[in-house]
Amino acid sequence: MTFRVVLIILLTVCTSLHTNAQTSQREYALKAGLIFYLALYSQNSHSESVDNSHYVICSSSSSFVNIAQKTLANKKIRQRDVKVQYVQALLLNSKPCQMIFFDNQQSYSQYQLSLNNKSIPAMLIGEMPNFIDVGGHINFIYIGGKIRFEINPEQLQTSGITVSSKVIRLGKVKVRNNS
Amino acid sequence: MKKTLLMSLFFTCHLSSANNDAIENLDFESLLATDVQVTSVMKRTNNASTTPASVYVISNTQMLNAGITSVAQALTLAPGMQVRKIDNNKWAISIRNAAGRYTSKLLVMIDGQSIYNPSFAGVYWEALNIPIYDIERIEVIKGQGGLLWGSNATNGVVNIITKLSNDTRSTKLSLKTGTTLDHDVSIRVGNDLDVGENSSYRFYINSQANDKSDISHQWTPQDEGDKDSFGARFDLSFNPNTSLLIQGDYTEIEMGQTLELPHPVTFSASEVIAQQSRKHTLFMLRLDNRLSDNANQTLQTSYAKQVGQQPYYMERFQRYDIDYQINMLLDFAQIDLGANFSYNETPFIGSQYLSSQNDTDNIKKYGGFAQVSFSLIENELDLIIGNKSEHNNLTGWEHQPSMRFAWRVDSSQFLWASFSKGVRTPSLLEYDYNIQINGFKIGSVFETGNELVDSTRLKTFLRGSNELKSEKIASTEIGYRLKHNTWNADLSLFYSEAKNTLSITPIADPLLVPSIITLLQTADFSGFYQYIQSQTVSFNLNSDSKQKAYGADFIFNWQVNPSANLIIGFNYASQEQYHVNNDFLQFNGHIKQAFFSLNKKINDTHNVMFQSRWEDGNIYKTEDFIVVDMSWNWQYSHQITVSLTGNNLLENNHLEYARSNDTFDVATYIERSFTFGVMVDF
Repeated sequence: MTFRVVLIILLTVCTSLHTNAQTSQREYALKAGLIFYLALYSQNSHSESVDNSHYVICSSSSSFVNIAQKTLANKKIRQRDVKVQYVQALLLNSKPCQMIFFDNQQSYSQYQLSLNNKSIPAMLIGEMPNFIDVGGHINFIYIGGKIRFEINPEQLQTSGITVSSKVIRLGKVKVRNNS
Repeated sequence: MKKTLLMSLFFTCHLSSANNDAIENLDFESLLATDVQVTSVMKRTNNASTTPASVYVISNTQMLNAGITSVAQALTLAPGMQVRKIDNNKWAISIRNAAGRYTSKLLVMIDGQSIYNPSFAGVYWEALNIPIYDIERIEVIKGQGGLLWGSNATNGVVNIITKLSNDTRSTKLSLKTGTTLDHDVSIRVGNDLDVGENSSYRFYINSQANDKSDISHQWTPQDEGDKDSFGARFDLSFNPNTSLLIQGDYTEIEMGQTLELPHPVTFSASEVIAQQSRKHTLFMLRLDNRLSDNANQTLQTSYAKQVGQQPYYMERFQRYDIDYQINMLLDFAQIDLGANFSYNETPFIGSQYLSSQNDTDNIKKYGGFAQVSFSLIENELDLIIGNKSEHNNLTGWEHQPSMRFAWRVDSSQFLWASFSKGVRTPSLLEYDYNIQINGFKIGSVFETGNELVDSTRLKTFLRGSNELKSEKIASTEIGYRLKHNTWNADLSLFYSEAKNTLSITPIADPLLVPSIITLLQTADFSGFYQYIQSQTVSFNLNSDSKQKAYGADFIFNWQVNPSANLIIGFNYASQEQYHVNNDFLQFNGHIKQAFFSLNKKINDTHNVMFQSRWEDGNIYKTEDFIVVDMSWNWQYSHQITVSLTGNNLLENNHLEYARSNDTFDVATYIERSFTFGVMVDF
């Protein structure tokens, strides 16, 4: 009987192994927290003129935006309220964004196409393989159960963004590989 | 069958909640240190503020700010922790219970690998020589943690978590010297590894030596020591979901010591000056696999070897462990399942003072655990129930059920309660060994009036027994946490009742007293001494005693302003043991501690940390004492940090441990000391 009970529980468990938002929620909450500090420890030479009252973080991922809005509620960066904004298509709308978070390759490709070789001084953060190689600034990676990030300081500098040595020290410096 | 269905239906009624509340308050480094999955697959807690247990986390920054030079010393940073320095090498450490060198009842792990020594149910703290700067954090779990971590964690768990090698991909050199510390030199080299994605490694080598103390509790201090270690960690990431951790450490220790051992002729306590050398090896492989966003599994195999050599006590202990865990976060609950097998090879090596009764040369353990965590009221009240059942070849099957409630009253209040049963299996010392201890005085049985005769001692043995049962502890804990923007308070109360705790039955020849009387009446002193030499008294160990313990822990943490952090702690514990018959094992009494710590970041480059502990000495047979430590850290440049630490600043010296009959080790007076350090990042 005991064996049957265990077996039934195990079967119930195994058949329920479908995608559940719980971990993603936590992962996004952690990433939102890290994005806050990445913003705090960086200086964008162009963005100050965009919106003086808010520091705007944009993403086309509604799930990320929902969680980041909760995680970063009441946070301030250099006296400016942090605003997490959902942008359906990261095209022209992304102009007021000081930071853009891409959760998939498609949204980043669309964004790049829309730029048409123009440069928008926003910090580009992703969570996908080879994000640095395709021009991203910071890419979240998963190591040993924790979130870490790759960073390309040169690319950031080209975009007019300077980051503190603390961020560079905590991240993994990666140089863009164009090939 | 109906019951089963009901159970499944009940589980599906509620959604378990992921505790993301605390993430918003974490700083940069803490976010990086937080696990993505809320499961405990890696045998570490995820969120101390919403864990239904009394947990205190010592961070790497705290350790560096306090100028810590050893893991044992780092534990003094945890309020409520019983950390007593026996001499410059040895420590007695415990939680909620009087600490003894050989009676800690504390499970200590490095990255999930146990370093518990089953011969004496404790840990050789002096053999832990990991560079402090590579320790990410130390989790101190007060109370029973047997369910997730294993048996013998009846007083608590100390979980030392080292940094991912990805976070140590640089070269670091640390040099320290001081008035007691002769030198502490360590170098770590780390870098990326060209295997899979995001793989990395680090190597370290560490050498530490300390001088001997000036004053000993009795006789001559001999506690100088030399420790040399090297180790490596590889974190191999094959893909984002599969990683392999390979870790190994080797430590060699040579240290002096003064022992209190029975004289071969008079059987009275006599001074033995003896070198002790130890060689400890640790090796671990851990494969982590993320099955989905909500499930992961871990397979860990580890090997530990401890070789100890000192006159009259030789050890050669090896341990092999295999541990599997799967953790799932489902719609209705979080489920943790695990199975483990452990083989301990403990060949007996006899000596003048030590013999074995049954020649028990191994301890085998196997078992499993299951834990289910689900919400009774969504986002408000969680229930965590589970059981660990483990078989060992000394006492058979042992079960450790546990039930915990976690109630998030509102965004600032958290209430928890825990009811658990824990098990401590007998150590080999208790189960199998006979140890010659200081002789039993004739005068303590009957007084003849002749002082010479009354003070004469009989050869005495402490005899283990293979009929000992495991100590079983039923524990109830409740806790309350209050969190505000700048401060938080944590109160926990505990009450535990243990049965099958150790007691002693003295056994002697029934004709002993009449024979002595006859010999003395006939004034046959030569016959008397001849007779005394041939007699032995045995203190036989039994497991028929009981122990009751209760107490409270209170910790107040206040971020006074962005640059100043203050911690105040109070700890009280009382323990009462019945039917022990001899104070050799008795630790009755109270533990009281008041703790104060202030960390002040003066500016971007200077930091000062002040810490003080007041400790009640009664249970350790010492005076009460106050320890005041202060440390200053100066970030001279991005690469160079300079530190100056003063320990025990208020007193020139004090005694922290005087129960030499418990340890055979003669304690020394802990001196005021200063340490100067330089750390260079290349």
